[in-house]
Amino acid sequence: MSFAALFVLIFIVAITSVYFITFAEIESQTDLELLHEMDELEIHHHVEDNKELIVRVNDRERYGEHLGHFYALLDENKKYISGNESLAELMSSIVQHSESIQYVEKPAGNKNDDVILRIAYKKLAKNMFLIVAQENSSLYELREHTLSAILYSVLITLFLGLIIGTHMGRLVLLRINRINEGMDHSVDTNFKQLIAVPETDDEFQALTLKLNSMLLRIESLLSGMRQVTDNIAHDLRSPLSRMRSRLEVTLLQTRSEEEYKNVMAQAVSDCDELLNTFNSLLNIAQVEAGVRGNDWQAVDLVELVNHLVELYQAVAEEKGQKFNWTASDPIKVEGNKDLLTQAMSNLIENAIKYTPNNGKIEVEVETLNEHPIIRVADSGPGIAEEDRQRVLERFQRLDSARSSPGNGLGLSLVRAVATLHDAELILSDNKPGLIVELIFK
Amino acid sequence: MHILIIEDDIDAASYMVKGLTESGHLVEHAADGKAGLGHAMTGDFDIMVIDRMLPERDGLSIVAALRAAEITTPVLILSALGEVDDRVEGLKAGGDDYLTKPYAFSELLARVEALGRRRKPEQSSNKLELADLKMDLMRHKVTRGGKTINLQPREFRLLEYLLRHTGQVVSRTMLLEQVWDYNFDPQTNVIDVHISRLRNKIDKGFDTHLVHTIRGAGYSLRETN
Repeated sequence: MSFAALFVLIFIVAITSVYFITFAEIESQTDLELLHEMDELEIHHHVEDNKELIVRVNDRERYGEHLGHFYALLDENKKYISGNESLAELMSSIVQHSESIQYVEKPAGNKNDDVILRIAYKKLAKNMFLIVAQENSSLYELREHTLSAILYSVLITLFLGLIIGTHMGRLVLLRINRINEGMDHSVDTNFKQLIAVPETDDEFQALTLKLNSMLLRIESLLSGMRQVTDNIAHDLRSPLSRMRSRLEVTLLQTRSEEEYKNVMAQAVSDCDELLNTFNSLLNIAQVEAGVRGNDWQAVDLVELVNHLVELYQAVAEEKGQKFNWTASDPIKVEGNKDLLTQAMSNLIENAIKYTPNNGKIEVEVETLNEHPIIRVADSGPGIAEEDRQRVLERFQRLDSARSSPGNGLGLSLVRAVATLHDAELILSDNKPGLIVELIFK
Repeated sequence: MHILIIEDDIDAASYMVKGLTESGHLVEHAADGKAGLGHAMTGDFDIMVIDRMLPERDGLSIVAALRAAEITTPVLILSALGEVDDRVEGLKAGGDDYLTKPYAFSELLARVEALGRRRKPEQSSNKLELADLKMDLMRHKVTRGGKTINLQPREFRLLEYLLRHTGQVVSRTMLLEQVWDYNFDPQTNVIDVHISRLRNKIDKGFDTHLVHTIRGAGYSLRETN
């Protein structure tokens, strides 16, 4: 509504200014013509003898009548000398002793009231008044017609503006409502349903697509959270219930000190396992939330891996694994050294753990297309393509890995650290084995 | 050793007091920052265990106040925060070691005893020995029973640390921190592998074994079991 009103207002202002500018221009044209006529006649005015002027005025009056031009000459007592008599009569009461040209507008009078005259007059040197008039009725008619045209067009515009504005407003509201309903529906179905995307290629379509991608993200976060909660419940419950039943059974009857000691030592070790899992979970959550990793610095990946290899190479050698690593010149990335170390140690530990005895492990740090890359490749069983995303989730372990120690949180931490560093984590096939790559930006 | 514990969690404090007392130490406990600082300023302690978050006055400011008063008693800071940054902060404030909750009591005990040892005058700094095992730091040489033992640089540092803490229990985490300079918990038995390699080099073929595994706690270098 207010838009329609504003639109009409602007329209009125525009039309009115066009109107005033045009008519001011036409009027000044008329006045210029009158002034010109006046000047031409005034040349014939001589102080001693005005015969020439009187004749000229009569001549002009005779020729000018059908053009709508009228002329008259009055003496100093405003009495008629020559030219148009009715004009002289009309003007005798009006003319004043003025040296400069004066302009007036008058109806012609004598039953010719619908004829409007634009009149110029001037007092000549010998106290005579020269009057030149031009019929101006056509201009008046034009003005009146224009005015009514403006009025009608304003009314029509207002009317149409209201109708179209209201209609368009309702159309917009309708489409917003449709999106609203879609959102409600999506929320009702736990974000399983998305909003129907409008077919028109416009802002509404773009908005709907954006909202849908948000809903998808919420859905994936929700299901991720549900899955994590389920997994946590499951993975933490097992050691707890194991410990509980062991303690419970021990309490059933009096046992030897040795037996009590053993059971308690086992309970302590179960607790350690649980605490370890909690710590890892907390660690991942903190990295993902960006709480950790405040001290950002330039980290030399080569030195970082070199140091870790020194720690882990012995473990690989104990398993008869071949551990290949060649330190190169420094390759630096901006990052948190402790988190990168933790992530790298997880990858190396995984490689050692899952590669069979006498297998092969290869660690490389290089720069490819200006991207620093860390690559850990092993000759273990690898991870099937369909499982490669899944194993990055918390507590997700392959069935084949369930028997080996570990809590299924190692790769989750690696992924969290990679995300924090804006690095890509890629798992691929080493044929046989697994290749894990961290590609930094 | 005479130990002061400043810890507001009464349960945690009481089991710490019990555990340390049973390990043969004389333990005093203060439950808030103000009382703790008062104790610390007057008493003569060999070591102090100070929780970071305390009512009345926080742990780091106690350490800072002690250091300002030129009391150099070793301090082990306990923290529930456990960020590496926090650790650095704690050590900067004048703490000598930093332990994150939850911790195993054996870990606490090992660290407390290691810190207490620090006060005693170090063995002549470039020669360390235990029984017939001799380490010459200047010449980077290790012999046992007169026989030269070749050690990798990291094995050398590992043995040096164990020798400096002869008779004490050192945890795996302590070794990882002190010998490899790492502050994370490996999920595998990486320290065990290094100890076993060292053991092979210094104990194999000798009647008396010097490297002992302490179940649930860590390792210890000593002559007798």
